[in-house]
Amino acid sequence: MNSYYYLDAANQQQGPLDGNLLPSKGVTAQTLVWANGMAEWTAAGQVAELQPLFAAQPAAAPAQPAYQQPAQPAYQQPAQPAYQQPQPAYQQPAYQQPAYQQPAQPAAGAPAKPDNYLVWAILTTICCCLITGIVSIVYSTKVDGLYAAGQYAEAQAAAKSAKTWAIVGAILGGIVYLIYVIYVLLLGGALFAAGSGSW
Amino acid sequence: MKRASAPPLPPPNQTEGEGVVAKKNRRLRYGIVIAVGVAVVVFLFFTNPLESQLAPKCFWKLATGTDCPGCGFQRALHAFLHGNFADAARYNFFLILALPYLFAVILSDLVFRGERRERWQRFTHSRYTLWAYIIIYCVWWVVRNILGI
Repeated sequence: MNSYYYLDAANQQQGPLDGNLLPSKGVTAQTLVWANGMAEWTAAGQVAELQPLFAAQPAAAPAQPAYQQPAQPAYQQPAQPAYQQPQPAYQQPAYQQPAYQQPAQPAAGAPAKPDNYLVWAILTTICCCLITGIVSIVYSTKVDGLYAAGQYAEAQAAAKSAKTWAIVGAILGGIVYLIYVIYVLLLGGALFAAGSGSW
Repeated sequence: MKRASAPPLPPPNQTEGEGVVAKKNRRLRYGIVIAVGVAVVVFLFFTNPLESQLAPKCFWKLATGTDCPGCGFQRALHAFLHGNFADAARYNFFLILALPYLFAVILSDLVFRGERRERWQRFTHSRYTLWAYIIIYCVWWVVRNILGI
């Protein structure tokens, strides 16, 4: 195993140290490393020699585009053999804490999990435009599954729909309330006086 | 020369952080939301929805005469803020489930970070949790109108 330099959390160059020791230093598949003979800094997960050490984390696309970019063909992580392989190489009990890899966190190299505006959706279901909230939540149910299946573009699309419906609901609710206030306060609408409706 | 020195460091990685402007926007949005939330709570503390015209009436109820799942939310909140928990529950039972869940989602999405956020989100954003919410919501909608609660 070669000796590698790596970039720590503060982007400071560290090392060199034996490649086997990298995970114990907090190096992940995305951490940039360099060993003698490499042309440039490379993500650890993409260095053949190091790949067994980061088995649970598929290689990341080195250039991770900005946070929210729905259609990103660059995310195709073509065949993720490393992810599926049973990996008998897990025999590194000493410092390779499987828990560190957080198997429940699918692909650490994948784009960050989309924000799906669940708070807004729930609020709209109990405060105002009920149906939009439900639609938003239905879209939200799809996000996790798609994300875990590696379909990041679809996950992003579903999250976007969830977000849109939630926002639409919130805005509609706001407009409705404004109309209400105008009607009651300025036009003295008696129809909505206390007692004739429900709140 | 035993070992060549590593090539110059690459530029700092922008992948996980937000830009400065995006962060400011986010803070601003949250600030507004929190302000509105506080305003609503304060409003409902001082005004009794049963008496005030400013408390909006449910449009669904006006249109169809039946309750929507959220009907009673304002009265419940008002009663709750005055320590009247029994009444608060009576106005809308679904809230006993929905509001803690909403709170959990707020924590998991907006407050927590890192490992704790992952753990909480695994629950709050789980497909099963979300579908449970939707189903209970719809069932409540029907049941409350049948039973008149």
